[in-house]
Amino acid sequence: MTQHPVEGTLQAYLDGEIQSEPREAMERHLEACRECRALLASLDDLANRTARALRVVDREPPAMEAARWEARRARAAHRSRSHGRRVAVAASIVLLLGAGWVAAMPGSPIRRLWEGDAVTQDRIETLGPSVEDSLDQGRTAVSVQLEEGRATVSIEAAPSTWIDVRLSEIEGVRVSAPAGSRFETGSGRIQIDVGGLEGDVIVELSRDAVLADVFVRGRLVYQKSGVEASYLGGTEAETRDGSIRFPAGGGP
Amino acid sequence: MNFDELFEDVYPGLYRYCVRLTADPDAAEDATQEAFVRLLDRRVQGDFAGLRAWLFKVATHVIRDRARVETNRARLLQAHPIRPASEEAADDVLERAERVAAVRRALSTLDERDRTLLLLREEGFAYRELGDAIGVQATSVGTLLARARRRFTEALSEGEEK
Repeated sequence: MTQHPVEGTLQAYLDGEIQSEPREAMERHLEACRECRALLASLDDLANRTARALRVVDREPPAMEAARWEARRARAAHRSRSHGRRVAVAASIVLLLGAGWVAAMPGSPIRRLWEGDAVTQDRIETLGPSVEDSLDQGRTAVSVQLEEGRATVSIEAAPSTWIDVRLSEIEGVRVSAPAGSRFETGSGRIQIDVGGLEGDVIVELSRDAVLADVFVRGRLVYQKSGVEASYLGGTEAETRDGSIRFPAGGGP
Repeated sequence: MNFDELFEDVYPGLYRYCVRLTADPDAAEDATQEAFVRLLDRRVQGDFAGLRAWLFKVATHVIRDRARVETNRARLLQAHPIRPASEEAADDVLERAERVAAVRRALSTLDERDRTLLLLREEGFAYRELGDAIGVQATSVGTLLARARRRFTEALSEGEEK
């Protein structure tokens, strides 16, 4: 390299953007050229001063866990708004289950007496118009939206996720899952297995649902007993700023 | 690419970039979050570098589309003085606020392209990615970057002299 490199080329050299051969030529030139060395030093100084000055503006980012939770929650809110459109394109089934089936199921979890704080139907209805929440379950995100007494449990399912819904008498339960998912129904029970797929599984429970449990990979995440609804998995709901907040739990 | 891993790797830098670009921590938080929400919602696929570039691009668009940058900058200076850390003396707080204001004034003297270029480079983007982001050839990035830094530091010096 006999000619002086232009400033932009020196800047690229400084930023490690010059490849090996021209880089070596540049280095030979720099060894011999005091003027270019001075320009390179000034560019380096500009870069350092810029970086130092900008650090003055920086603020601590919001806590990661809270920020991630917010992203999930915001997505759940967005998803619920566009839910109708998605259901139209997803393989969707509507299952109506008869009353009393579940009562015959020995050991049915919905026969248990549930413990811990729960959210009452009255509370759900006064919180409206829309309350959403989400909980990371490892790579599977679960969110619950409560609106006008209805509960919509949305599961952003990774491959191999299976969801069990245990029900008593319910006027209408709507379940949608990615096309190709496997459904099994039995007495008081719906199981959805997404197999190798991934996508949203959405379980909508009407306000009239008396008893309902939703399990994700065997872990109970939502249950409703009469007028009380709980979001579980070892967590208790708390109300805050007019919404229901569920602390994030561990993996499944 | 696992969302959680991507989130943890990219979030701090993206938030920092947005704070620097908007001068408003609240707007920065919104834009950062919006970028991740769109990523989730659109199920964008790609390798780490591609997804990271996509997130920065979306956050930049979010900020631009809302067209509140200048408003926020002015509002921030008036309505969000730097909150003192409990042990921080009042003089330190004032001095820091002045330094922050000076940096923001210097940034505001750059046009949008130069500001974006300068701030993205601070987050470690390669020239090719920077060229894509501002719509120029990668070979022009070095020249533009040197010019932007020079303008920025000159504006900063002028502000300090006043």
